[in-house]
Amino acid sequence: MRTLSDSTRQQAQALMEMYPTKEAAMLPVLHLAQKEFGLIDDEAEQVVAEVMGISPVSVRETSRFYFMYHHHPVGKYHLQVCQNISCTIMGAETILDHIKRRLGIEAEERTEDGLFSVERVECIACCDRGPAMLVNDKLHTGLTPDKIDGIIKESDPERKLDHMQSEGNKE
Amino acid sequence: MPEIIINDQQIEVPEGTNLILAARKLGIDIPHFCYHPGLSVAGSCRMCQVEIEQNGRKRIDLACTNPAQDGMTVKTDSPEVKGIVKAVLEFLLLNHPTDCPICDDAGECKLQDYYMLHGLYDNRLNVDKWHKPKVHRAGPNVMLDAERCVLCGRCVRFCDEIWGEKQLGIFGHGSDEVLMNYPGKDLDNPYSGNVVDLCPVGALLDRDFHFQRRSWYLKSVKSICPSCSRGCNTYIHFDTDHDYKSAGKRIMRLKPRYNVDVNRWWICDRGRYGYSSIDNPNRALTPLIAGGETGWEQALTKSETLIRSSLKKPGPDGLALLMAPNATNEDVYLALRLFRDTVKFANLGYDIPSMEKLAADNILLTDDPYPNRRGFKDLGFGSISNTSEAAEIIEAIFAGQIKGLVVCGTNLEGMLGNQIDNLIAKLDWLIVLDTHKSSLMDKASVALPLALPAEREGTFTNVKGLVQKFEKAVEPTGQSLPLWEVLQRLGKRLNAKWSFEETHTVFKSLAEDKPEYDTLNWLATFGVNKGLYLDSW
Amino acid sequence: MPELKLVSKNFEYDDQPDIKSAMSRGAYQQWKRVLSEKIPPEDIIEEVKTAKLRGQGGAGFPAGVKWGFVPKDSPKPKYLCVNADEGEPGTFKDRALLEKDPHQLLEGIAITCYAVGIHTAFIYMRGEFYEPQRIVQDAIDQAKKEGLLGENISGSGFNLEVIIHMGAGAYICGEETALLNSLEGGKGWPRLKPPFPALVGAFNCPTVINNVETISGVPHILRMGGEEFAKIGTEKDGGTKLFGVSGHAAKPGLYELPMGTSLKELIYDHAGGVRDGKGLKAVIPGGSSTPILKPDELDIPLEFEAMMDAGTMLGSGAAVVLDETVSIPQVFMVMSRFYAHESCGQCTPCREGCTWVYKTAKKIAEGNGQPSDLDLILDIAPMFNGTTVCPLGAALAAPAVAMVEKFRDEFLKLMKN
Ligand SMILES: Cc1cc2nc3c(=O)[nH]c(=O)nc-3n(C[C@H](O)[C@H](O)[C@H](O)COP(=O)(O)O)c2cc1C
Ligand code: SF4
Ligand code: SF4
Ligand code: FES
Ligand code: FES
Repeated sequence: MRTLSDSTRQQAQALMEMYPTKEAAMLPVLHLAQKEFGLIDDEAEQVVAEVMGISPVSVRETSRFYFMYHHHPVGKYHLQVCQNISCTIMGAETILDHIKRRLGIEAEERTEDGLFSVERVECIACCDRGPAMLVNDKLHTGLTPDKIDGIIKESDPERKLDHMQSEGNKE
Repeated sequence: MPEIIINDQQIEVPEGTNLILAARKLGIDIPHFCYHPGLSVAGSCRMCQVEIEQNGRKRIDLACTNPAQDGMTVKTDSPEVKGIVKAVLEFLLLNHPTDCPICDDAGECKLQDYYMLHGLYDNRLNVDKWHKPKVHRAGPNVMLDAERCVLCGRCVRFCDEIWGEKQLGIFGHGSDEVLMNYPGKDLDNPYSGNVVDLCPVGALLDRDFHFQRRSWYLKSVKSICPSCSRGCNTYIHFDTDHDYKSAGKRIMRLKPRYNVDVNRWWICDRGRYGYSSIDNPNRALTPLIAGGETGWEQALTKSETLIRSSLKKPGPDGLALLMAPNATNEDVYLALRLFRDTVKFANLGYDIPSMEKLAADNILLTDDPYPNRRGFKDLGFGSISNTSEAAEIIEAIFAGQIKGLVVCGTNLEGMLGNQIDNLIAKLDWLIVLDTHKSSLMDKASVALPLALPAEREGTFTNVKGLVQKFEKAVEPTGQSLPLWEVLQRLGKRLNAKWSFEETHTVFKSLAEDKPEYDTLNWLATFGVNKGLYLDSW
Repeated sequence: MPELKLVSKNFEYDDQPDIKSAMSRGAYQQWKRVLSEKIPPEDIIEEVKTAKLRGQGGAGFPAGVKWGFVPKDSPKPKYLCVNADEGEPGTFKDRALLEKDPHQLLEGIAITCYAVGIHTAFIYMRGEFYEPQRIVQDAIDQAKKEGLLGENISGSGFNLEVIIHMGAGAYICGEETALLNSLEGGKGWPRLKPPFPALVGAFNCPTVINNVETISGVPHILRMGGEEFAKIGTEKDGGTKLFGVSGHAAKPGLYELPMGTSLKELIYDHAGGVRDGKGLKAVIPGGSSTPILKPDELDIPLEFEAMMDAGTMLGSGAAVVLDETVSIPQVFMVMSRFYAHESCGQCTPCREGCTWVYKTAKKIAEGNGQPSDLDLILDIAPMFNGTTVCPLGAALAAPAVAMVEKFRDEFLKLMKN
């Protein structure tokens, strides 16, 4: 079974002491665990349960409720594309299609090399600058197919983009 | 106490009574899924909506979260309420697999009942249904069909609040939610079976009842659980008319029977699933003499002869009765009248050191696996002269002081192990009365088969001193008889001056000078009823 | 009405998150004044009541009144939860307040806590707010260093700890009681009310929950005086509000306007009307939970009651402009997908109803719908409007009915027969 590093355990301990109840540290501790493990799967849930001294059922109820906890591995670059109204009417679908074509994967999938994954997300509160997406913790707004290519290129300079045709580019 | 009006009927209820409970007092059932009086109020299924008029203002609100308040006028059948109730049902049934023909819960399912009462709409399903795990083993006793689950959360709250440990959870978000145990961790608390009773639909089911019987074939009687000294109130559900699947199985399941003073709505799994010993191939079916099958006449004649032969020599001091505290009060009473008062055995012991101390908890389960230790004590089981303890009696046998021994339902073999043969060798004779076959019965001079509580009526006194009656579900197996009847017949042969025809008269006699026993109203008989789970909320 | 900048006054300065720069523009002056003049807490609550400051998170409950519900002599600790979960589609004002003027928020938090007698404030921030978290945490650290937060603030004996609590992606956690459950580490299932959070809130203690914008307005009330603040707005709604405009507006963005400015003015005068000279099809006036308006319905004052009278809601004040090229059935599908996705799953009508509407909307948007599907939507939507624990169901039901009723023809055009 995996374990959390000592420093993460210490952080978790400090969080549990900071809140009026130790249970309140659940969300931040799950964030820490996800940072370390890359995901929250069954085993990660059990590690968190053990570290926090609470039932794995409680941990799972929380971890499976929130969309930001991943239960399957995501890419090193996790593209979270807004699909809500303002972004949609500004062309979010085209952006998503472009990304899918560029990476050769569908939404909620990961590239074989583990570098990229794509997820549709709801409004991320920058609707006046849509279409928008988060790549890991970085916000990108006013997306165009060219901008997407730039972002992919910057993350993975080796990646060849031209062999895959993009409808988005033609538009 | 607040006074309210529900559907034009007035009622006064204690402070804090919610509208579901208040309505029930008037015989009005407000449909509900998530509410259960034994659990915290969730208010999530939204089924129990009613119209409440208070201080001149009308609102639609939940019956489960609203306590009755003086001056409230409640309507459970206004057109608006009916519309919402119907809509909630339609929402729940939208994704329900409606596999009632193969669902064990059919006949006792709230979705079915409410659809007939409050639904009856035309199917408007225009999109696909969801799919979730089916026939999932949630734990050793319970299986889950997550597609049937209405997410009422009762089972979750039961584990959290009554058992005190989270074993089930509703995992996911919104319409992706699935009720489940934690992967790889069983729903295995000692009360796990209660979630089956709590589940308003066929999502949680008893594994041992799966495909056993249609619920409407079941009959039921009121009983008392014999598996520990708590004396939880139960129903025995049985069926002797349809013999498919499991030949010879008559008792199909046990269900808890509400008793606010004893077990409320619950029973433990030990009690619930303990019925399998009743229709068990190991039951003692016929009397035996020296291990050979015989009839009652011969066996009783033999017993009479053995006892009579010893009354002079070694005399009462050399004779003993060992009785396990699983016999009923009626059995105890006649055993005393016979062995203490008539043939005057000097050694009567019942305080068998328990083989298996149960893991008691502060919910129901006590550490005493016997149901009637308190009754033995109350009735003063013991001889006139000696304060004989079971352990002392056994020592006395080994010391050669006791030559004749009657054993009733006591697991002497378990207690003595390979010493048992040495013990038998010390005796002139041994008479064993028991419900299940054992090598002790085979080795005994006489062995007599006894009926189990499900096969007779009687009373047990629970650990708190409450006298409780149980009723007969099925006929005694083979030639077995209730213990009191055996004692009555033997007594007649040994010139006893008393004679009882019925369990009832035995009880009446034993209760005569016992005010705390006299409170039980024997004649308030429940009889045989339909086996649908009547206490269901 | 022209723009009137209070909470967005310093948005133009990039160095505003730096405490020195912020203080040079007046940050923390009111907080220092409260402490040095020892203003009685009740007086602050009265001032906020006088200011008619209404909750800016969507429901519009008067902030001062809410604070007044908190028991004064509670033996338990009390908490403030600042609602920075900003998830209502179309809304982006709180992100700006957090990123561009964190000290304004912290000053508002300090004054609020002082007024209500609170020593721990949580800022519940949606998990995706990485940048706002960094900025606000930095601001907290600076303010502590300056002795404006923390132990024994400016020698007053008043202590205040401010803790950022990050969510993890769930719109429902913006609902105040779901927020409390989430803060306590559980699923974001809204709680039954009563009890109200002012009496039984976070960790079973009395709790004030207010939106970022609401709290950010507090220092301005103290600076201007409640009466002056109230005068800016309308009879019932005091002060200004940060209105957001997104979608096909010529100049999308935030506009701080006095309460009561007309929606038409917001769209045309401030946001420049529809971009590229296209025609206007409709406006979603206050976040996706608010019923859609047609072009001829825009002449309504932006205040809570007037919007309700017009059959819609002020909501979070986030208008989405839809030009003539937009497909309403498509928007309807996106909108219902959101609520179906975000329903917490606790109540039957919301969990099942939103999903049913979404699946039906999808079918229609894909060209497989039938006219009866529209009637079905109109029939079932009221059944999850007001029948549930929280108003999320209603937040789909009302706009769904409005869209289907107002744009029925467009839906029908997508159908085969
Ligand atoms: C589904 C739902 C989502 C909500 N989301 C938010 C939100 O993201 N931010 C917010 O401030 N209020 C939100 N609210 C409103 C809060 O419940 C609450 O009314 C508000 O935080 C109170 O603060 P205020 O009075 O300052 O507006 C939401 C309400 C509902 C029903
Ligand atoms: S399994 Fe049964 S009791 Fe448990 S939540 Fe589902 S319907 Fe309710
Ligand atoms: S109305 Fe919807 S979101 Fe609100 S509590 Fe109920 S199920 Fe959850
Ligand atoms: S709709 Fe995409 S950020 Fe709001
Ligand atoms: S909401 Fe009242 S019984 Fe479920």
